[in-house]
Amino acid sequence: MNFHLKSFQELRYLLDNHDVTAEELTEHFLDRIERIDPDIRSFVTVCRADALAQAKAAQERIDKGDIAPMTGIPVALKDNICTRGVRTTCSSKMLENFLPPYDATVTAALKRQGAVLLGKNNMDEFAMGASTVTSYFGVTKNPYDITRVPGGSSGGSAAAVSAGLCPASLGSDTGGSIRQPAAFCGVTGLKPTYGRVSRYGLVAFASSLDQIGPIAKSARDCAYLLDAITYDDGMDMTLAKDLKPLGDIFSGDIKGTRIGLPAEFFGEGVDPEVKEIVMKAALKYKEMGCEIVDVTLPSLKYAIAAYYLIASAEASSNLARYDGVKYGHRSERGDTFEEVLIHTRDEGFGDEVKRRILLGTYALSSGYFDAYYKKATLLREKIKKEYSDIFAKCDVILTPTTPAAAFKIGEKTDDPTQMYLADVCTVTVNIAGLPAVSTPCGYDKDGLPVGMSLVGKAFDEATILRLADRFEKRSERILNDYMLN
Amino acid sequence: MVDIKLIDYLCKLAKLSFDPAEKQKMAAQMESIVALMDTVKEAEIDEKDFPPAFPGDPKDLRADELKPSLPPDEALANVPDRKYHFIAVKKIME
Repeated sequence: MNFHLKSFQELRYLLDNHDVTAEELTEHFLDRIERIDPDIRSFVTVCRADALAQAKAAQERIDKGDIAPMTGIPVALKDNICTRGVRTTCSSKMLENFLPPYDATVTAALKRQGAVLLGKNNMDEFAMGASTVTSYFGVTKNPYDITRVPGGSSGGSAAAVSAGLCPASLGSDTGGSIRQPAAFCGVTGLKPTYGRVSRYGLVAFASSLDQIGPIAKSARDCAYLLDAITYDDGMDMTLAKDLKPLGDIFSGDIKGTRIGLPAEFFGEGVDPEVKEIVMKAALKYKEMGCEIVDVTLPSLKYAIAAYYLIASAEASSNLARYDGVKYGHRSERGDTFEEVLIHTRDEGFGDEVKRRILLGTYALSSGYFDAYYKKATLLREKIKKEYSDIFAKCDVILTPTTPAAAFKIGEKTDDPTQMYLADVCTVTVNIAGLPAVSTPCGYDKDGLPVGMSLVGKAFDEATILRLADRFEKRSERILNDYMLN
Repeated sequence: MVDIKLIDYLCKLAKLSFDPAEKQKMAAQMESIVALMDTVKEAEIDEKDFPPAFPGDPKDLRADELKPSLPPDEALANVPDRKYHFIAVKKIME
């Protein structure tokens, strides 16, 4: 049976009715990983033995009737989410052999429910990138065209879901790292509101922007997984209080929903084909009874710079901990602590990570702080205000997720600024801490998926997921050859 | 202007190092990155209108109390060089 084509609810039904065992389901995905992943390279670590043991335990729970929503369902995790005893590398040489002594809150939540961890997905090193090209373990390939990138930084997660190697994966999104790869790989990715999901155990990149979220085949599966990981263990002070599960959000009506189209996201720099496909999606919503409203986000032109200054400044601080003392790579070179420290960081970090550390250090250094970092934080508040003004006029915002479909591997590698500019459609959502879901809305002339983003008010994941679901139900999803075989 | 001198200064602050060829390349790339970052200077913002806000409320910090934690062997399991329950490093003082 093609279990990899099934939704979470269908898998739950099959498991609960004993039409399949958790072990059989896990074997199905492990076999697919073994057969297909040499082409895609979406996993850094595959946990075959542990996964089968977890599946056995899950089946015992199912047989006893002790069933939680994720019991016996296999999932994967981006390799910056801590998993006790399973290496968590951040796709970096620095953490190549790091075995966390604890689970992230989301990992613990999934384990408590009896989910099965298939393995850890490849990513851009320390989540810095939009292509998965910066991974120490090699680039992941896009299942729709293996000469193209899957996006990033959660490129391994999106590619694995897209190729049917796992029902879903958790990614992390600092400036678009869930939505952009989801768009490139033709799947659905949700970046929850900042504070919706605990970041405890997520290896920090930019702490005021990072958020864990699901990548899955549909908005419904994203909602299912989001509810499974929404849990407060008191370890993240930025987590919102009294969070409620989404529950049944898909029965509500979408008629009358006001969808804002910000002109700036459809202007220069956006591929005309992408623009046309996303505008057609807007028309489809209009046919479904939604109201289309013109809105504006004037500060978008400053967003890339503001984002990279804030994110890099926080990264330069967060990554100062990699000194080869308590964990991670330690250089064999050097006679003093200082020399070993510098050699360790030189050997352990890749070029993109070093560039971001240098940029962050520059933005925070004496003489440049006011002009760069402080100005970026002011822009952050201005962008929040502009979003607040927009949401006075509409309920959600619709934009392209990316200015163009997936690019060729190596296409933007020599010019980091070109790679940074490609984040223009996603970064403001992180700057403002809002939720956004990307779902496929069409395919370009090369057959590559094009994604649209629905951005919601803070903690209103329900509305954007409901809208994404309605669109998914009324549009054709073209699956790639890996998913079909 | 990002030159070798600035890269050397930033490397000193960030505890990084590059060989001469890498340094040259990094200076050129940083030059174009900083030019992109200069966009923020064009934004006209009055600081008084946008007081910086920080996520989370300091009142929500966890109480400073002893709770069960990892045993020392587990907490130190990833230490690259260890002597008993101590972390060994190269000499710190010259």
